[in-house]
Amino acid sequence: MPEDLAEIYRTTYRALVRFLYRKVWDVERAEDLAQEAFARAVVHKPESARGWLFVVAANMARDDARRAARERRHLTLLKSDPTSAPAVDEAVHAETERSLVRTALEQLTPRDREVLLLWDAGLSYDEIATQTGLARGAVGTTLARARRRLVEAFTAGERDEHVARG
Amino acid sequence: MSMSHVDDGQLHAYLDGELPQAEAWRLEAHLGECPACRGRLEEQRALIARASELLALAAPPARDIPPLPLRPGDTQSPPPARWPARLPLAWAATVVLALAAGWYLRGEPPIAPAPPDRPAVAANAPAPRETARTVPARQVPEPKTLAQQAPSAGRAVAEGDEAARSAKAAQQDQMISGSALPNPQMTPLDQAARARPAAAPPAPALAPAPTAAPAASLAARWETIPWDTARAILGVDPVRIPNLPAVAKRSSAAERVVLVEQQLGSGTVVRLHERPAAEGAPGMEVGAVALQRQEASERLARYVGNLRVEIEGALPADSLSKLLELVR
Repeated sequence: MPEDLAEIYRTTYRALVRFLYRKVWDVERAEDLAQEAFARAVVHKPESARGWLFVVAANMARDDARRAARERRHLTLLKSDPTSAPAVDEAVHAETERSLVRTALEQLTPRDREVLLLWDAGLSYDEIATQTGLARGAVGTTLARARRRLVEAFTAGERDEHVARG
Repeated sequence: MSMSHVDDGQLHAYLDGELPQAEAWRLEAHLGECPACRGRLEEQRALIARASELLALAAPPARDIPPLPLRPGDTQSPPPARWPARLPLAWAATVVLALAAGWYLRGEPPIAPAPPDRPAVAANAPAPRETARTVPARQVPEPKTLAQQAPSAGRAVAEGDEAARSAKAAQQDQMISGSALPNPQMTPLDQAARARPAAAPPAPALAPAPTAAPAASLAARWETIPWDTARAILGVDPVRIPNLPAVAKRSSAAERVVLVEQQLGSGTVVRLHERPAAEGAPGMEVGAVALQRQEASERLARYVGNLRVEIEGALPADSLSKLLELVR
């Protein structure tokens, strides 16, 4: 079991960061949260650590988003950490595409988005079903819809972008 | 599966390799005789590829995998396989957030008058202030632990090993001088919490490495009190992070200090130490933020106005600032 967790860490850490990144959109923050999730797993030793990690990570990302929203409302005194700013050397094009994907993802329903992100992070249909409460048979349908809407929303966003640029 | 055609969900499950075997066979049989569904299969295959492509555009940059987080202070980071051996120290995920309003500039120590049966405490009472102002410059062997003198005294937060060494030095010093000063590397806050044990038999209190003490010592010496009592002590509602379960406690050593303990997550506890604002330091420069960062950010001390916030643990600076913002 302990060895399992070390192994899961090796195989799942990056997937968890990727999953979290699409929620918090900040690499450092995503890594912090992933580390925190694993630190909790070390303490809790959950039965099925992989699924557990994604549940915990999803909760932390949600809390994080709420916290961030509160901070934006109430706090401006403390200078924001420079590391949380988007990397400046990022190619503008890549940044544009990233934000188009982000915008597209945000147009999905929470459930569709969650299922899509979990699949993209490497979870199986069974794991996704367990985690989201969906029937296993509904995972494929949800994924089909989520993928279609993602591509449609991205394409629409791209078109608007071109229109905006003239 | 419908008799005639297959739905998109089945096609996606099939293409994802997640369709149960029996269903996959039936689907393939249908595809064999239905060009329309074969066409849809290819459409969906392209859709899946496109969606993956888009998600890849929004992937975080690949970076090195850090060691499995177990406890802070282990910068020598042994291979991940060794982690079970260090499980007992998982408490180190604990974040001790010491928030003492004006504590460090106060003329008077925060410790309440000692009951007659505890003369040692009374003898110790002035210690924090003295220690904070004079000891670091005089006793700490490695100057780098003193880097960046903060606007107030007493931010002697040191990396674990150095603190341990300094503890020894302090112990020797106090034996020589006869003044039962606690570890100069401890904050006055810690000193308050540890005042009694340090006074009675000095050795046991100082013996454990600083990395092993906080959780145990806090648990042992703080009693839970009702919120009304906490309010009565402080005159205002105790500072706490909203939306988290919180427990108010009082130090038996320093009765005018309120500790608010909050479970941040399963492995993380935030502790806010507060004393009445009226006892805060009036002259403190509000908004002054001093940051002392040492040894790969395992310990951090910051001043926010007249609050001292201390973090122990592998907490990234980003998280720290978020915590600080919450506290504000």
